[in-house]
Amino acid sequence: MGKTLNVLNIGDSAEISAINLEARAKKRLMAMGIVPGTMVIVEGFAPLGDPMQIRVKQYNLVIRRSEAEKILVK
Amino acid sequence: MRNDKTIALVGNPNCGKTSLFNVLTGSNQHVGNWPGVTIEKKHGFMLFKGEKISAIDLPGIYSLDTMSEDEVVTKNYIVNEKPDIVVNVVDATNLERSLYLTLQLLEINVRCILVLNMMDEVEVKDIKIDSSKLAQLLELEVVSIAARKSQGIEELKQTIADEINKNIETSMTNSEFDNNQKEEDDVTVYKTISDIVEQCVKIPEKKIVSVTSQIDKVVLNKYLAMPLFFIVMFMIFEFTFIFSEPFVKIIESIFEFVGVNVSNWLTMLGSSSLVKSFIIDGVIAGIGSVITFFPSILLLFFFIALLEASGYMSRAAYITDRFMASIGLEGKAFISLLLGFGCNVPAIMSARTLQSKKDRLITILINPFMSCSARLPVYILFANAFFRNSKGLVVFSLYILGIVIAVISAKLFNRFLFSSEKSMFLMELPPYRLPHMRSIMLDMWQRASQFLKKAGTIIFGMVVIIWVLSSLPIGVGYASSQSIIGRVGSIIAPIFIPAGFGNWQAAVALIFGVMAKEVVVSTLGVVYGVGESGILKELPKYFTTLSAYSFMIMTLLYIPCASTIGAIRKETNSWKWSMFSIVYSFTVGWIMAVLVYQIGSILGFK
Repeated sequence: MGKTLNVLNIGDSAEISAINLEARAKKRLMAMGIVPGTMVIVEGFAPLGDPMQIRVKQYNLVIRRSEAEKILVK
Repeated sequence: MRNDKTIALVGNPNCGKTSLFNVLTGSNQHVGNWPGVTIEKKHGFMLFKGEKISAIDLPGIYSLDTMSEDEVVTKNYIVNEKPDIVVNVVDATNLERSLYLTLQLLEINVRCILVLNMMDEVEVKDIKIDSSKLAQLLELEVVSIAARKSQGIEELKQTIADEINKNIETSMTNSEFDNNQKEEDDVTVYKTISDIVEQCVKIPEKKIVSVTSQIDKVVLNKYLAMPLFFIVMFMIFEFTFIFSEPFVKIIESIFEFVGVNVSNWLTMLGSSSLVKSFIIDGVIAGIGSVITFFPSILLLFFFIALLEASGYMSRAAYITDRFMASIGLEGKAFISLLLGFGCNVPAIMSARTLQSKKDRLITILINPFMSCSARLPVYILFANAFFRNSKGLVVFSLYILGIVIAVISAKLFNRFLFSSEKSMFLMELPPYRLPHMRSIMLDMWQRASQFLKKAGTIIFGMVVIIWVLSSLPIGVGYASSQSIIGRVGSIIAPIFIPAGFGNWQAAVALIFGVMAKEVVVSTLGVVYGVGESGILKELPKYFTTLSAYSFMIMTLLYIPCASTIGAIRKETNSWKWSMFSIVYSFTVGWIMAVLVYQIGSILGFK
């Protein structure tokens, strides 16, 4: 098992390698530009620690840690 | 088939699509709902060189095939209604993501015009876009505009008019999307997009620190975010419900004035007291109770539109999501619930900003438990009569009880009503933008007037029904024990015996409270025959301290007021959920009132 998106720190950048979510959730992520091969940068976490904010394809996306946990990065 | 030409605007949320729609159609708009869903449907006309072209603003979406309500509405419209041209609006500062939807549109062979919006921001960011190259690669017309500054609009209108008159027969491939589409396909699509973007767009190497990230350093700061959020919410609250108060007072006095004068006039005409009462207590009071909501609804929608357009709304959802996730909802629901402390009606209407249908429904259903300002007069009356030394604490406890019930209900609904639906929170954090005032005013006006039209008829209907029940059979005193409502009160009063207030007057006051919660106070005045000023002395004859508290709990929790029911009906588009809300809240209210009274009695309270 590789690293997942939720364990990255603020400022870290990584490349998405796989998404382990059910088809519909995966489809939604893909529509937002989260596909294997995409670079993401962690921009920050909400004051209560969740969700997290990542930069992808020139825009900022908010995603819960529970979903980020299913996204493998390298 | 339609005869007139139609264009449909399609694009991502936050791409400035609605601003463009407003610029294109001016105020020639009609807002309604798509059949069967609560998604707004905006329809308008664009006039260009004497030609009238019909325009539809479709919901903001990122793709066509994730099966969300918005996407289904959009796809069905495009496939079934066949607009002549789809105007695909994209945020030019973020082509790489936006073009995903564009490619999907091209895949089903619709005739598209690509509109690069936000070109003013592109310039500021020093991004260079080769639009002719883009047009060539995608094989469609590309127009650059800045909708908020009304730049490029004439060229766009010209392009639309030219394209629409070309009269090319296209065959739309109505291929059903394959939901098992391979992940690799999407990877390929994005590769295609990357290639296109690489050839057409030059993003400066040097990274400019954007204004947005500067602002977010403060607004989303770990320690400042929460306090700032509460300050913003508090200010909206203050402005909405305090600034609207003078207007509410004016409206009330106008209706009073009209009532008195019409009453005199009717007496002069010699009309029967029944007709007079119907017009004064029924019609005028009914219309009045609807209109008095209008100033606060206008103001609230103004602020909501402002928050949405500026980009803060998404941040507020981001900040509160963690807390709301614990009761199975998403961040935006928090704002809706908070607004409920002012008035549940606009609060319920604000739930339409939530993405998931499940979250929207739950937020609407638990909203009436947020103790709105109309319930305060009832608390104050009883607190003054029975809890002289602990007024603040007693009233505060009611607010807390409402929140606790809302939280528990949310968990229950999530568990038992919508257990199959899992919500996923995925939200774009758009850059801060200076709001376009005209769009905000338009937005505010459309939402508020829709409320007046739809909810207004329901509220008015209920008010009339209550009037009829209070006045019949002919000859009885208004809302006396002989009137139908008085008899109904006597019949249902026994069910409140376990809660400690089994007198028919209390039951009638609760029935009237459905019109508007504050009416409980004036009704008690009427049924005790002492007027509002005399109630304070009269109450101890009918209530003990303990039953006064259980009555306050009942007032807090039982059936939402007519306006709120109207809003629930309108927003859920379902009588079933409206009825559910009525039955559920009444049951919960009764159980809590009985529990408090019985346990209190056992503990020796009186």
